[in-house]
Amino acid sequence: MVAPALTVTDLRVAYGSRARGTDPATDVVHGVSFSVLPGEVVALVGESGSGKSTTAHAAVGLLPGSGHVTGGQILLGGDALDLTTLPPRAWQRVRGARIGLVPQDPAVALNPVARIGDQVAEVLRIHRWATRSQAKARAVEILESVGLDNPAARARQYPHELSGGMRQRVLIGIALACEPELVIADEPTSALDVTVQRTVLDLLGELTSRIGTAVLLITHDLAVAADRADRVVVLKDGLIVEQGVTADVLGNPQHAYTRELLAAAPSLSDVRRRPVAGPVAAAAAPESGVLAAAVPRVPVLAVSGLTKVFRLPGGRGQDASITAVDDVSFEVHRGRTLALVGESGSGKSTTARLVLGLTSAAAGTVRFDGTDVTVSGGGRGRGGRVDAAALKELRRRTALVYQNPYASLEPRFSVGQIIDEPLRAHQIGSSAERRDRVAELIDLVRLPAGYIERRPEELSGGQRQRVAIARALALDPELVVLDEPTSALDVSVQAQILDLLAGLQDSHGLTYLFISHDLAVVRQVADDVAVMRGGRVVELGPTQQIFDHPVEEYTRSLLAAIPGSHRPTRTLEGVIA
Amino acid sequence: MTGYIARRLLQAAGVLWAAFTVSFLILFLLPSDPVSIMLDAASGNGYVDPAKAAELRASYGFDQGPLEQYLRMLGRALTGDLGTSISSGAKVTTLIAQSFPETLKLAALALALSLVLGAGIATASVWTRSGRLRQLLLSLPPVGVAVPTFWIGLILLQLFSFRFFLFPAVGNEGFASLVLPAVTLAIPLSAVVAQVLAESMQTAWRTQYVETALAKGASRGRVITRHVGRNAAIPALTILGVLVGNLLAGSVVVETVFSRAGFGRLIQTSVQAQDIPVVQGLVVVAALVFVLVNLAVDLAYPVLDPRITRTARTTT
Repeated sequence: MVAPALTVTDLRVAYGSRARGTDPATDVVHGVSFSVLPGEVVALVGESGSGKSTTAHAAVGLLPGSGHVTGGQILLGGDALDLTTLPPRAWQRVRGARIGLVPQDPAVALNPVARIGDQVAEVLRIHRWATRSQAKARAVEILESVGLDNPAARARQYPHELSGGMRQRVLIGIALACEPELVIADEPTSALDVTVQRTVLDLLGELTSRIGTAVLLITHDLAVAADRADRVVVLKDGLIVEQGVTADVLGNPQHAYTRELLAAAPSLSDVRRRPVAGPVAAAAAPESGVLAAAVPRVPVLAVSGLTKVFRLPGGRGQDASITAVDDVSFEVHRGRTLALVGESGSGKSTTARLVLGLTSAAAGTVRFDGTDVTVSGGGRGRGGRVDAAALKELRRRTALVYQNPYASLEPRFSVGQIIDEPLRAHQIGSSAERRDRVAELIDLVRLPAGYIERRPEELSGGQRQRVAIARALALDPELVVLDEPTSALDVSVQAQILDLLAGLQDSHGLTYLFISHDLAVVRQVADDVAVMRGGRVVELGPTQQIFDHPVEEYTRSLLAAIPGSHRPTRTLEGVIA
Repeated sequence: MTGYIARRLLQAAGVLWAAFTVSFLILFLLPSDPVSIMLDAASGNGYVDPAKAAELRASYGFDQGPLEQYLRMLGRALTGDLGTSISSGAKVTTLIAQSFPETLKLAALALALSLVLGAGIATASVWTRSGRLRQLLLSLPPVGVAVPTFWIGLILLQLFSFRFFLFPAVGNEGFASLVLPAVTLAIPLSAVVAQVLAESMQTAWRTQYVETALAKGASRGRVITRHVGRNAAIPALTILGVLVGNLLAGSVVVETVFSRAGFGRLIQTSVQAQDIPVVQGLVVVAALVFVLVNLAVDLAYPVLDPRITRTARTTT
């Protein structure tokens, strides 16, 4: 029997004063036990607040703020070193050398003012694996081993000069530099694009299996766990509800919560949030015009040849500008959902801003319900030439729901004031009428009536997004642009919001332009899909067709990158059944 | 890069011109007669001799229109001539050149002391694991800001000059005479440095890259010196320009309390004597110091923070 790389026994963690830490009521982790064998990948899955991240941070001795272990043991490696009683100096010898940490958000996890090579070399210097000059050379080798092109040049660069995927590769290099027994990967790819996510997880898997490092993978994404983990530990409210071999837990979940999570995970379930729309204007391919002409109705939104160019500061000639949106054309018909999918920088959000007249177009037209509402010319940010009355009318008939409900709600307003704001801006109704309308909207998004007086900070992420949706619906818009409306939310909350959006679309005949990088979500909600890359629409068609018979290579690679696709079909069927 | 510096120098020239013009407007065009003020200041008994006044008026060009006066003075200022003092008759530039080195020594020492003291308090407040010690350290800066400079000066004089005879109480003789004024000047300044630096160090301590560094096995000391310090220095650098302003203002009080000759003392005496050309010259020179310090700060940003490129900064 091999000694486990990590054994966690009845771990309890609390936040707050140490004196009161003995009170079990303050615990956020209530007696968690699991182990990770050398070379094994164990996934800790659960939603926000489940204690998965707290457990992981306890294991590397980096609990934030007032967090502290109140009970249990964490034993590391063959010598069964108890980490819960380790003094600070001993911890310094363990971290980086025996336990590596791959953090969550590569955008902020590297020191912005230090060179990449120095940041990799630092871990080698701390643990005296190399002299100064050796460490420098070794850092370049490490950068090469994590798949960075031109590693010697990369070593001299700063974090902001690298993409998110490259930064995460650097962080993996740092975590594995001293060949630790255990790597803790805390949501290592949740901030990355789907294709990058796959390559980064591939790299992590490949390197750790080469060194024989055990991996504790923290994730909220069951599909990632399904693809990557040998065993899964499901956490809820600081307790383990289920653990076992991945195929068993996900293929035949014993606990109701695991089943709930599985049902909510978009990439693991085939549930459509709405029935597939009829064939009306299904293939609204705008270039041909033939099908569009055959449809009697005017599309709510018709975009043609839309182009947006950004000037770069200090650029010259070829480098002076980038074409963020390049000759984009599509139509959206009433009551339907068009999804714009693509990775960061594909131009999908800029397209949405152009549609809403929030930025000016260099070329092309945006027609809303047959009327030209293109904001053109100028080129300098907002403004440009446009009829002010027409723009105000466009603002009334369109609405936008942002990605991050933590940032899009004014923190000093109450929920009622937030929802009332569009009504006030457009001077609609008396204050009594507006009050009724706000109450009606709160009811519509299924928030309790009493929430009207609350502030955003008192609300959960899902509740905040409901407020944002209510605000978007205040003026009874025809077109709602949803910019990644669920990507900041937990899976089960995500499912609820998607259901709410689908229900509202049916009851109000809303038309959605759904911006997303998550193809699994898109599959559940969209009637038509436009795949964007480098500012261009590379493929456009009905959802079913795009998913079942993608024409473009890029679309195929996006589909293949959806986590959960590594799983054998047998267990997938089990999930659906 | 050259374009950036050229633009900044042009801006600096604009600021100097504005300082000159505004001080001209205030000092010369206020509804009072500068010549009577001068003669009054010179004689001190309120009697103004009309003939002498007319002579003075003509020699200063006050009989001309305001625009002619302004253009003539601006033209002279551009050639480095800031006029002559009314009370002493010396050239304004000479007076400033004599007083400036003394204040520069004082300011440099005070700035160095305040940076060391301020950074020390800030670093210690992040370093310590004891919540109480941190509270104590963080309560020092508000006290330092609140206590008046002259009071600190008097206390230091009382203790170190009159009781222990360690440092001279007055004068400009040697390094020893510099110590007490510099400490007096440095205390409120170090409080500002400590406040800004402690705040930005606490912020930096809570970042993800600090967690990454700790996960590498780095000690608290290493994390503070290698990661937190440099990131926290960037916001602190911004206030350096303000600090230099505080130094000039503080030198007025400190040089008076310690009876030192210097820039601040010159400000105090020439304002009291209503020596208008000297006051205007001092305003312009103070503006020049400000402009140069801020230019140096702006040029230092990209050195400390690779994310800032000079081209990007001019567009924001």
